[in-house]
Amino acid sequence: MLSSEKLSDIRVAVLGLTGLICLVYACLALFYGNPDPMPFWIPGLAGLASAAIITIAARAAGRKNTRRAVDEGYFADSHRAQRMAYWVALLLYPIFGLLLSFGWVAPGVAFAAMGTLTGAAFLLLFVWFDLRGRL
Amino acid sequence: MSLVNHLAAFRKEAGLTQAQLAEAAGVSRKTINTIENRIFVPSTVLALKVAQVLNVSVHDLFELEEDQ
Repeated sequence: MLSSEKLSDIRVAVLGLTGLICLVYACLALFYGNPDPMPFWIPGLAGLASAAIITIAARAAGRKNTRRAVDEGYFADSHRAQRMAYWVALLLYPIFGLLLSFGWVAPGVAFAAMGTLTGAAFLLLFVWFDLRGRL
Repeated sequence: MSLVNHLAAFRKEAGLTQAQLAEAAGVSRKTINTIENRIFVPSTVLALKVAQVLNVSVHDLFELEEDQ
């Protein structure tokens, strides 16, 4: 049976990887000026794969260990990451509004970058808070 | 006023590791660590559970301190 610590490790690893994929997608889209710097379905598929892996790991860990991995410390980290990611997502609008108004970014690129950066902000903040709490 | 806690001291006195206390209280080791490091303030229910495991009062674990 998977321990609660192992389940937390798996969760952090897959969410961190998905966050990094989103961040890399946004950076590549901005760098190359291309809304599809890699196949567009990769960030979405990474998210779905993460959900599937976490669900399978939670099943393997059992109810008691899953409850320990999803305790109030987990919710505190998640809520904190959501609060900060909300402001990051809002901040993207004026930033990309300016970039669009100066013609430095194409609308399609801005759409792709903003979407993936919004996802990356929450995922990476959550992973950061989780890892920091363990030290 | 700020909240100070003596969880680490009482845990060590009881001869428990963070992982053992977490297991007994039904939470993750990270949660115990964040409480000890004052990153996270636990709910009343968790504070009571931890106090029960350590066989002390919640008032022994947590107290309010006047800000300087």
